[in-house]
Amino acid sequence: MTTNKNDEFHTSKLDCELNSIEYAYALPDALGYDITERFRKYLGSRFININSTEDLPYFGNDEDPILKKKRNILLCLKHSPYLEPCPGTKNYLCCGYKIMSIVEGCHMDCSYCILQGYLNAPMTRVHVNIKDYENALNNAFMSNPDKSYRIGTGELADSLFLDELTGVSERMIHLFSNYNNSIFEIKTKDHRIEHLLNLDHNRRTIISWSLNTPRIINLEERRTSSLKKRLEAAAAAEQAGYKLGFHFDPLIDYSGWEKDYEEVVKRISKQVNPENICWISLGCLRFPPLLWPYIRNRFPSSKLYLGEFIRGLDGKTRYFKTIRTHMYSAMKKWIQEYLGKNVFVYLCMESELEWQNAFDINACTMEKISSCLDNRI
Amino acid sequence: MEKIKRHNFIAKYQKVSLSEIDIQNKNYNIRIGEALPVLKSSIEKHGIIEPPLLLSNATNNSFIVLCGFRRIGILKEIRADNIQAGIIDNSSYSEFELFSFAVHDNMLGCGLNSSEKALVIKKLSNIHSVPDDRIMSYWMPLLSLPSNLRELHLQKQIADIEKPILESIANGTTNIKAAFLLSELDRNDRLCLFNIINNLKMGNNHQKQFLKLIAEISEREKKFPSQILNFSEVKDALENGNHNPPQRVVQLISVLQQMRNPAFSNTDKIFKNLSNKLNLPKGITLNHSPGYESEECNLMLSFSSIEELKQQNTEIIRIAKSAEIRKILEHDN
Repeated sequence: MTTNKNDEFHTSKLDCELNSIEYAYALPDALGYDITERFRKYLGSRFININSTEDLPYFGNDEDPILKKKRNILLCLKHSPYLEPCPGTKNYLCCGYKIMSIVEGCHMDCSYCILQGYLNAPMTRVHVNIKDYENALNNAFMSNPDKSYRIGTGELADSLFLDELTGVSERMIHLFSNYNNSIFEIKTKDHRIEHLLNLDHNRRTIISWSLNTPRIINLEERRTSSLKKRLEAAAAAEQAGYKLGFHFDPLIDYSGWEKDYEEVVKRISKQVNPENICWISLGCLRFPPLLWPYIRNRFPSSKLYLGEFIRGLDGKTRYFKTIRTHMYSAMKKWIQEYLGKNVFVYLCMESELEWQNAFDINACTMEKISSCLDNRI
Repeated sequence: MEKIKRHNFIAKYQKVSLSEIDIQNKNYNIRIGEALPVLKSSIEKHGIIEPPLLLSNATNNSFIVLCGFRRIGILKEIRADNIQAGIIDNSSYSEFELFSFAVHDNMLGCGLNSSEKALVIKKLSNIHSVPDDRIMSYWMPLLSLPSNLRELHLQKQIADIEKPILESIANGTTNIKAAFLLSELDRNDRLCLFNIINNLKMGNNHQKQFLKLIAEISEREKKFPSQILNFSEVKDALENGNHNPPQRVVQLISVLQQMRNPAFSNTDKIFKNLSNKLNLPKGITLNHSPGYESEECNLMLSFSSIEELKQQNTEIIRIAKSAEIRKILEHDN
């Protein structure tokens, strides 16, 4: 086991995150790992050894089981596969992204987050065997030198949750800096990236922010950083030489969205140099219908229900196609206007029809999208 | 605070003049809605089988009703003189114990309707100061209500709505889920929408659909729900003299759905117009993909003889050559 300099790095971000944790439960096979021992050190009496998952408390009868799951951590091992394809969604085009789910569960609390109904786990899971992930990545990159990899940790968690304690981003940034055929993407709604600014990343890491309008951030994204802070953090990341990404996902339709989203794009242009933006993705609000009760019960002031929805070909709730087309076309127009035509914009989990209607790209396929994005790295 | 001693209620049975019973005091009354006609005919035929329970009110030498409001009401209506009743010595019991007894007695009798359950919850909380967690852990399961905080708040909200609506819930005309939606509105909007539900005699599903659509449209348009009813299309649907109430309900819901989903409705309208122009014969139907999400259209054939199938084949060739089918496919894109 290696010691990590994060042992000495106890910042306010980490304090906040640790304070929000009620208990961390460690399974026997997770003991002895650096991460587990750091949890033990920082949580003290809130660190509990358990023999099996049967010893975990049940939160189902709690007033807000989702919040309880967010605030309790299970330290465990991940077994292969360590590198997985993005699950995508049936009948819509995925970009061929790969994910590493080192942390599963998120401390932020967004009304539209599918994790509320998606993760079949008793609580937030932190997989402590990072070395196994690193071995899997090294093997993949070395055995397929001609293949391009875009890999992120922000699919089932905010990439920066407990990041100073786990050291995940630091270790990944270091690993990816050694390869030219791969890029690591950190996806976050957090602005606290100080611990990443002085690392040797060799431009093989993209720090991406999920962006939305201030109104949506206030109404629908609890415990996330403000737009101002996210953009300031993006500027700081750019200063530190990182490539940047932005994800307008979900785009949310409400009265006045045009003015608000245009303003967000304008604000990006004032904070960062478009040349350093590797990609911008767009995705309109979509989620499994099973999420409705979570939104209704946990976010009574949410206005998401006011959208004009249909059931998509994948069974998920989506905006009607003409609304999506209008939003994507408008966003692309503003991005080109304020950030220039060289910024690569793509649609996340959209239909071939939508690529055609909004972007005028015929016969779009997953391979084409994937290849365009791979060329960016 | 809720506190009950374990003991048996002991009543002393005696004849009481109906004029001595104060039915204006409704401290223990949890009944909402009319008594069942069968109760009146039973009393007229057999008299009172189960004597009501009364409390003596020493201040004005009268009696307060603990259980049996409806029975006593019917006796007064049929101008009976007196009644055999059980008299309880109220000095031995707390207000809460007496209320609890009344609830249990009513539940064991003909049960409680949805309005009455809401009223019990409200009285437990407001008058008897029973804490929410106790109401959720004991009283809500007892009343067969889901025991969670949201439900508790909804029940309290329901109990506060106007009497005509509570009576309508009690007699089953207004659906309890529709009542929840009504309870979230301002008084003026609530009564306005309730009158429409009531006048058009909407079924359960239509009530919920109507209220949900109105609430969402008003939220989006930033107007009061009652203002939505003044939109010309809505007024036309409500006042259509050529339609009977069920037909008006169908038209009203359809108009509201178009207002709620304008983009979808617009596309759907164009598809239906073009589809109608195709003059599809019997046995051939044309459908778009679900939600217009893909370019595909779906042509369905049904036939019972080779002759019909051959005829349909000719029709399909005609459809394929028509300008309308091209427009449908172009529009879908």
